[in-house]
Amino acid sequence: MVQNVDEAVAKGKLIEFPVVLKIISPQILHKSDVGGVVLGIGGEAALKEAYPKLIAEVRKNNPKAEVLGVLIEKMMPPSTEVIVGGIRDSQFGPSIMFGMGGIFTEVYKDVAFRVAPVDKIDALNLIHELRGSKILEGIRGQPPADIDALVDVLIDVSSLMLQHSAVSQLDLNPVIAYPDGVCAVDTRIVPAKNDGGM
Amino acid sequence: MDLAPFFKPKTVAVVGASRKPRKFGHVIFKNFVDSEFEGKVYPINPEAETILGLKAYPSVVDVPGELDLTVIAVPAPKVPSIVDECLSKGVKAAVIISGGFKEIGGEGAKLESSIKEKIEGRSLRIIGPNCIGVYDPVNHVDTLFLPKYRLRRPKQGPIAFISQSGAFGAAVLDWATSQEIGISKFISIGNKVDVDEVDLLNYLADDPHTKCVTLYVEGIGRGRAFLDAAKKALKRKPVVVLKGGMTKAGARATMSHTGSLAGSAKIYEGAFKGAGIIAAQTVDELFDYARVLAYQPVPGSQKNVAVVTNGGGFGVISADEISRRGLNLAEFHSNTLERLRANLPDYAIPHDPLDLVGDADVERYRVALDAVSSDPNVGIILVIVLLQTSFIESDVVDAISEASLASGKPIVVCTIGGDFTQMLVKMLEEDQIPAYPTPGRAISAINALIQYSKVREDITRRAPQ
Repeated sequence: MVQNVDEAVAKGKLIEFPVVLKIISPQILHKSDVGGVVLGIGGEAALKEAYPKLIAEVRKNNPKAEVLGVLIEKMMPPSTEVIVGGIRDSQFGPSIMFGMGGIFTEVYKDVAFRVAPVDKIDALNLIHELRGSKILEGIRGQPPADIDALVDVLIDVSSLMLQHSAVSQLDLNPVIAYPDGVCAVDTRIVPAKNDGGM
Repeated sequence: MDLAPFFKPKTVAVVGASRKPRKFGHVIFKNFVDSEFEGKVYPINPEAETILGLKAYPSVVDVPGELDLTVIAVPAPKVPSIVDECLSKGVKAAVIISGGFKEIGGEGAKLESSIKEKIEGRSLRIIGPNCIGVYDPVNHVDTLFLPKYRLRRPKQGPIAFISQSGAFGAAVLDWATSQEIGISKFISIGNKVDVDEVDLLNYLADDPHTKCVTLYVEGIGRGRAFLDAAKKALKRKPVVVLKGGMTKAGARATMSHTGSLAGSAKIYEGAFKGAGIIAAQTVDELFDYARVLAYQPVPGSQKNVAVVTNGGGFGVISADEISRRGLNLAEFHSNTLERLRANLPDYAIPHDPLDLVGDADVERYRVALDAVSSDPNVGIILVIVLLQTSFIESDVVDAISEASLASGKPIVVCTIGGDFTQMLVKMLEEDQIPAYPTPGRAISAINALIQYSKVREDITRRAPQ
């Protein structure tokens, strides 16, 4: 996390461009809704321009938000996006969710759940339950996503939800699935006492 | 604790046994007296000398010897003191039929809590209150207070049925009887002051008479325990659940994306799938699935479906349904094609769906089923037989049953029609061949069977090598 544009430039050079900026504020849960995310910043000049614009945009959209700083991260190349989540269900307790990202989640609600713990077989079944799982298997000449790595993420989130009762809800959204490995590019954790009653 | 005294009691007392034939207690008492129940049954009624010719006792404590099961059918306010008497008598199991407890709130809820407190840490187990109790055709236990001329009792069969709702349970039993569907045990669990679906699932997992457990539940009290019990049961037999109240959107937090997507139906779906439970969406599906799961073997690794029909239209619709559900039609092996060509008339084209054409007789079915069921490319067979033609007689049932036994492959039937068809459906049911009125329901049942076979494969893969 950086506090000003100079720190951002220094950090940007260190982690290599392209980079991403994300606003960090306890009042802002949905960063992109308030213009708090800038993607694909290609170099130093673009970064110097983007940083103040990001701050200004957030101030304009949510003047009361306390800005703790700006997160600068390497911009991950695009690939298939999925969402992995954790919740505590009132009936079944710690559970995990897997869904196809983007519009598949927003429009088609192509998501499915399992009660923790999940093992490798459960995780594979969960992945294949989605209508969009064919995309992960590779369509239109695209290479298949690293299913084993996705399975590991699902098993890890399941363990996390079982072992850490302080976590009420968890989003890894999106997780970008590559042919070799996966990367969670944004994370949200709702602590147990701030869960809105779940 | 053991639930056996509910199903295999040697001694039964009916509290509230009345001389008035329309009273619940009278019907229940008469059920035991009139049936082949081999144990002893005692009417409990402080105001009667005898009921149906048997000596009545003022209280369960006055009954000589041990009491395994007590059925309680008296008004709710009297029930706690009856429970006290059961406790001092050392009764092992009680079914509380009476309503007027938690379901009405207020005083009723207090009465129910008092019962819960009384049995805490004691060996007495209770089913109910607010239920119709137990029907076990194996041991002739029948606590249903609905007279037999209104609610006919199904014969013994391989399907156990647990229902949270008594009325739903009663209606299903009556319907099952009309369809010649057999039941191993029926339990209406009502308010679940003690025995719940988890206890029963654990018990039925080991019940040798039950090949498939079906449940209708609205609320599952102990979610994780239920999933564990289902997983345990699934090592032995399939579990089919119709969950009522699925669409009620849970009031959920939207702090996370995951939370906002977690509707109660979605979570149930995932929880059931993870445990290997077959979820039924409708009342039809509950028994459509249970019948194929209880009667037919699971397919092996080959799961392609062959359709044999005497009606082209139903064959085409079946092929559509198979594809719609992501299942596969079989491609017949060259040997099968040869056998079919040699034995079927020229106008019957040997491909799947195999249309035996409208003038097909039983012999043609026999030849076709023999060839198709021994084909290595065929895992499951759907036999469509439309009985409106005069070419087919009732011995088509034998041809189907023989193919089922000879091949060891699952067979389901699709047939629709009037009295003659219904008679054959019952004959098929007798031979444990499930028949369905539409291709959609038949394929849906096949889909459930495939789903269960995959559950079994996962269990095998998880078993220590």
